[in-house]
Amino acid sequence: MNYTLLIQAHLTELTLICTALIVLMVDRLIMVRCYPRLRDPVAAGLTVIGCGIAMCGTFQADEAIAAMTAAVAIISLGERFTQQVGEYFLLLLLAAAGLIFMVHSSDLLNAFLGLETASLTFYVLVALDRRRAEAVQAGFKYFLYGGVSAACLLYGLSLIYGLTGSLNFAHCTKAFATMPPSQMAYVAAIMLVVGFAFKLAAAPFHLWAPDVYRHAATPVAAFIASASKVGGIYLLARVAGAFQREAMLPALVVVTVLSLVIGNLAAISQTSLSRLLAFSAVAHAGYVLVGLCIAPSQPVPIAAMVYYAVTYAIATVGAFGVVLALRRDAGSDCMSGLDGLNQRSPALAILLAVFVLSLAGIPPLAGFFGKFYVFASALRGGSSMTIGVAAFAILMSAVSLYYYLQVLKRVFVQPLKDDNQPPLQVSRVTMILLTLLALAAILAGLFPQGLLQSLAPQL
Amino acid sequence: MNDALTLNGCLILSALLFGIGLVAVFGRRSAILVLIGIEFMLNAAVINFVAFWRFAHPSSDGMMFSIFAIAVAAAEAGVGLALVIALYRHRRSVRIDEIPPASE
Repeated sequence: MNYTLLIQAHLTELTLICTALIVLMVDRLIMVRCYPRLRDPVAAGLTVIGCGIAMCGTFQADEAIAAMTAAVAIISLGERFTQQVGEYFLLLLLAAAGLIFMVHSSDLLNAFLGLETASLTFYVLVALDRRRAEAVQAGFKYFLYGGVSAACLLYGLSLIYGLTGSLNFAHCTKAFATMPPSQMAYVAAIMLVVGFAFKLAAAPFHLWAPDVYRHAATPVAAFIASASKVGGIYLLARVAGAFQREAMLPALVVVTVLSLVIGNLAAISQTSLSRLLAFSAVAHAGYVLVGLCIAPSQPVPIAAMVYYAVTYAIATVGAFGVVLALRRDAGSDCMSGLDGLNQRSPALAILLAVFVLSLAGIPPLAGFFGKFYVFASALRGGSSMTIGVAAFAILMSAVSLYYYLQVLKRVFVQPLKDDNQPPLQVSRVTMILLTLLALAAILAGLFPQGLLQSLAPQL
Repeated sequence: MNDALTLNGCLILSALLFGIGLVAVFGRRSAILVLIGIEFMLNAAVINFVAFWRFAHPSSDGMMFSIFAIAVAAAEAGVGLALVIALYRHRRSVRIDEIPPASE
């Protein structure tokens, strides 16, 4: 065995894991004793440096995950939700390493191990603020749903192993190509879809999402909403490519349609911005799954789906940055807190508008091209059912405009309740980060081809 | 050679274990019993791996998969019990029907 090759293949994960250990050691051995007030900035700075090193190379799903981790580390600055600063950043980096390991793996079992590494750290991250009962309960609920879905996924993998004798992607693709769909393949397909639907918060396995998004610390919620989505969608697209899609299709269509309906309709009645983002995440899982509801003979539009996930992640981290500013200002992220935001902080209002419009899919922002590519590939691969699902998704994204524009109406049209409210204070670092994310959303929308090509996996 | 053990027998056993685990997860009120249910489901998959390795694909890596799966199950149990303890500190009980449903 050649260890040099092995290290080269997993350099990104190794960088992140080494950074995680360095962060923990620096925090515990030096910062706690000597400079307790600088713990946050030093740990976040080291994390960002580690993620920056990991991001070298062409921009693909793994670099996108590292970038999201860096963004989350920056918005964590000044959030005092835990005393365990070093451990928090360690967990963040380990989760990112797990997700990237999952993206790099050429084997379903390795992918599962990466997924579990990430999931187990997510459960801990959500419950990290142990003093708040809500956070612990949200973490436990997340764990219960996650545990069941991981078990389903593993059971599905064991059946795939039974059918093909291997869990290697290439081997499975070859073995399934000549095999007629059997009952066992259908059971395995349902198990896999259940497992991934949970990861992507697709209905009917989304019940953890509103609680986690609302009660976890804001940066943690932003991380779960962005990085884990990118990793999950990449892996699902690859698994769907390797597996028999005739068997997977019925379950996928059910999950897609349910996510579109439940996500969009439930988001309309939400009164807090974080819960609205949770249900919009359910709806977005539905949109991206449209890309998999294509005829089995067509290739999976993996680049379009990953482009969608990356642009969605950019807009979501940005929106959570605004949630964070609102929570610091008013203690909650009620929609009424958005009233007259334009007068209190024009810059933040414009940034929120960019993120929300990108989520809604308004051209020329990145979200529009994400939807466009996914729907176009679905329509191109068109059986009549595929076209029906895509048309339904387009209809539902018209419904989603209603609640996104409600947010913007509050920001720009609704007057301030109390004219004496002071301007909203946002730290300069957060503002710079949000501006960069908004620029990324605009640039990815103006030049979609470049990003799309670089995201196409080189397998 | 023990002829009583067949592939079908093992698959039925693992399907039963998976079903029992699922019923425990959705039917039981105590967080500990729900954790045990999840362990049942994970171990059903492990039995599948070993059975397929033994009866269908003896020259492949099935045994290795099962060892990794056991490690994952152990890690999951560790995190789960830590969360149960954190929950117990707040509520002085581990009954999950006392956790309030989604807020608001």
